[in-house]
Amino acid sequence: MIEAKNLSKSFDNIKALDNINAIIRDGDVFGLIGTNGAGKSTFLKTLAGILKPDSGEILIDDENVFENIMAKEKFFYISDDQFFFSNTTPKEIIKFYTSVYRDFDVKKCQDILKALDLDINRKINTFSKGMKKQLCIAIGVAANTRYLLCDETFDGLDPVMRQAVKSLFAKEMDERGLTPIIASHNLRELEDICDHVGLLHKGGILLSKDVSDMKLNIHKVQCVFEKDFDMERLKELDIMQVKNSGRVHTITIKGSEEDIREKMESFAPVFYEMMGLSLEEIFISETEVYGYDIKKLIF
Amino acid sequence: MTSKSLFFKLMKEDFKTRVWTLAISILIFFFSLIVATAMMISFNLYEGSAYSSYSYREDLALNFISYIDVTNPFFGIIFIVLSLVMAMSGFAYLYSKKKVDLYHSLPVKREVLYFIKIINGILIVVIPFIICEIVASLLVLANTGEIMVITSALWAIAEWTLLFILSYFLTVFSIMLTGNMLIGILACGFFSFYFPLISLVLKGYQSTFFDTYYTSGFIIENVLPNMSSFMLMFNIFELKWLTRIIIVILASIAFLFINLFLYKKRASEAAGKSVGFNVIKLPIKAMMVIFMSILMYLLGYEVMNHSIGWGLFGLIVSGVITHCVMEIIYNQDFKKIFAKKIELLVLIIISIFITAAFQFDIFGYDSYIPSASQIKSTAVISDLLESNSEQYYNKVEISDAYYDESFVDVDYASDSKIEADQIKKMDIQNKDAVLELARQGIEAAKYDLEPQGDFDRVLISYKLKNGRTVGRVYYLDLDQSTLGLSSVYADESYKKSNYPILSQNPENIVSVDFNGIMDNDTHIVFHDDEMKKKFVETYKKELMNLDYETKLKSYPFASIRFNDNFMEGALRKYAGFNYTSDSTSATYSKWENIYASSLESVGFYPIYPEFKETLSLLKEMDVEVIYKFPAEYVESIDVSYNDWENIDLDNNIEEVESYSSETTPKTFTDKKDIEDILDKLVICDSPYKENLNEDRNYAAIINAGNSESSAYRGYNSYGFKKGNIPDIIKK
Repeated sequence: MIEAKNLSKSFDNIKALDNINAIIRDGDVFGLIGTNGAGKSTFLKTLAGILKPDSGEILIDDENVFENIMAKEKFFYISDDQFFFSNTTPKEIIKFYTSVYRDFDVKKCQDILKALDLDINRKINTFSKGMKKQLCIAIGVAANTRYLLCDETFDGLDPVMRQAVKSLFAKEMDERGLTPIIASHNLRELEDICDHVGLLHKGGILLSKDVSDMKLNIHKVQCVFEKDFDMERLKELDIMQVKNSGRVHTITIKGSEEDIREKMESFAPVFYEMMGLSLEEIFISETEVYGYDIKKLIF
Repeated sequence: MTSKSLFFKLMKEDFKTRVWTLAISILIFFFSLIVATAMMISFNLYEGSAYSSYSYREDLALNFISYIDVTNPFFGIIFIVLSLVMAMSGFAYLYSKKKVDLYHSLPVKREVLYFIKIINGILIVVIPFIICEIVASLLVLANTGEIMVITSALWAIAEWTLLFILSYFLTVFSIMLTGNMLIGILACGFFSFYFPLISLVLKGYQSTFFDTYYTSGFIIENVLPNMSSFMLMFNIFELKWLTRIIIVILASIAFLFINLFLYKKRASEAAGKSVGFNVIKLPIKAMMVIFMSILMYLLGYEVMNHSIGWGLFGLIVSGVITHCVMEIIYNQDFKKIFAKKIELLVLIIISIFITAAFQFDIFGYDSYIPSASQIKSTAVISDLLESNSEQYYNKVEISDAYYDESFVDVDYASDSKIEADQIKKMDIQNKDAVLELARQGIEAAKYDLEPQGDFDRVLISYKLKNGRTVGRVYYLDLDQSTLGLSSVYADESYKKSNYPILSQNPENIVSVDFNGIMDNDTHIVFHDDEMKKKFVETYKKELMNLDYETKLKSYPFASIRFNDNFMEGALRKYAGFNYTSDSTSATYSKWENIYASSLESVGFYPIYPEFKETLSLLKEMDVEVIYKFPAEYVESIDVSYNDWENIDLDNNIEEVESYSSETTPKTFTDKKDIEDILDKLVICDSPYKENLNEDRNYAAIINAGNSESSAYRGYNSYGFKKGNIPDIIKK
């Protein structure tokens, strides 16, 4: 488990992290979202022991990360712009990481690269941005560490590749309990992969919740009522948003699915259907509770 | 994976990323050592075949040894360049955020990373150097058979390696403190030259503004100038071999750990900034601003005819400009040119205070005089007391020659070396006399009198009870200081530290050289130990008893040198060696003429007419002593008169008509006049010369007959003792 306790970090007069508290459970996919400059990279770099916090601490299994080799062996950090030694090939880079990470699985790395159709003997400086990202992911996964810290790793990947990486992560999570921690400014990238999401804003975590919890308590219903239906009765529901298109109403409602279904049955609609919510929609509703306009925070 | 195998694996990986530096290192040493040596061998072989008598082997060996020696600046430049290349290739990643992210996220201790980079940096340079040096020396060995080339090569390897390591560590230190490459290179320059330069500026201030300045003390004279790997690399301040090596080793060890400390403390986010640690910004800026300000004050003051106004202009302008440049560098933003104005103001005020402290002698340097109770002993050095000290410091050397024979040479001692040694040896206990001389000197300095006439430089050094040695230089008037000088001259410690013969055992003396008027030179080898002991002890007694008053009224008309075995051997070698190319050599290969050579500058002591016992013993040893210049040899004497008091020295305008040696000397040809003049003239013509208390208004030139036939040739200028001017001249 990774735990951030009262974590603060400033660069000169700019506060990048402001008293952050967060818990990242093993086996979850932790999504870290926020605008550019929200502090995502700083948080990940502090988590990776690259930056020393001004105050507070980051613990991995109760061990402080900074300058702690035992703790650092438990994760692999993929930066948003990973450095590769000049004129090297994936093969040479694999050798380098093999000397650093004791459980590095060369075969796994080669297999992933083969699956991703990356030539291990080609110079990395001839790779595109997306290919470099794929190489990083392959190395990161093959390092066989418990945690994989990904800073904007999906940025630059095409949708097919994104799905492939997600599958790869899912397989690793399933097989050896990998915990990916993914920072992104794009909520849609994390849509169907994250179990837990933390929203960073101005150096602080605005909210940190399980996606499933959020999804259990918020629902979207599409319905058509009788012409003489008294719309005032809808106030019996904890309505967050109503959109009307002719006689078709799309209503976002807080509450358990059972309660909502029971109420809807009591309204005797002509038609109603429970619909799934996107992460974005969930966030809109959740952040509104804190008085924030999500569109200003993420998009 | 054990940590040891991780270390070596990472070393290998690091080496791969720096393999280009190995190529540079191999190329440099291949050409500068192996190819250069091959060229040297080829050249010497050609010379050897061209001249059958020419022994090229020794020459080749000596040339090679000289080439690889640690004094060759060519290799100094090579190692400085390589230290920069290695430091940058190893640690410049600290300047890149991307690279820092990679290295600092790895599960590798920073100490391990640091030592991997440090060790690789050294090995990449040192291994090719050692291999090329050994190959080159083997090539020379194969051609000369001189085993010394191998030992010299091994020494050179050890010394150059140490010097390279220090230079490399200092460059790494500069990188640790900075955040980008340009500033890193500037920092290298700063640490290479700042301390020697500040030492020069402080010495400039002391010598400019302190009338009694002698030396700047241990820190300014010895510590600051050598706080630079550059200065140590080229041995600019000519440190002794062992001192230099010890400094280099200690400094390297210190920098190894300082750099490690900085490496661990350095924040990853420092990459790309100007400075790695915010805490050093102000001290470095202060050092630069104050240095430039006080330097420009001194330049403005000196160049503009001692103008304080121009000095201040230079100080303020350079201070402001330096501060602006530093702020631009620190902030990497031109718009910050006038940032931190209060710091600028404070630094300018500090600079003004420093200059004022020197200009107006706020801390009383010139008026310093310790109390008698603080003084352990003193030393006084002046030409007024003894002007021939170099005779006892110049050393005769027998050097190995490139050709068949060795040759005799003289190693001349510098004034500073003589003074330093005398200060060390001298323990004058008559503190009151010395302090009185110092008081007179301070008074003279107050009126800023130009040294002329019977003024001369007097160095007084106090050995204080707290262990410090403090020196001051005064300009004293002989007439006013006679009493003090006389007391000092009477001191046993003064005499013994000035005249080594007084501490010498007669048993070590083998021969003496007597040198008198008219080339009256005799070399006497002692065969009778009793006579030798008697003679030496007699001379020692008379020299010890010589008082200052005698020096003032009399003069040494002859000189004597006491030779030990080495000197005797050197004289014989010198006399038999026909070599006429430079001033250190005899004009003719005749024993009689060796005195006309540079060996006259070594070891001669005075003989005053008052040394009656010595002169009597010389007579016993069949030495013909001539007391007066024989009038029969003299055709005429030209006497010049300089009316110093009526000459405006500043404007060089003679206000009254005077006759001088350049204009119209008065010539005396009458035998009686000549005898009269010779009787009063100070004929101090032997190697030991003493012109104390001479009347500077008169100068006489003896014209001693036909230069072709006369036994005595020469047109030396002589003077008269004060108050001893013949009436005929006064007329």
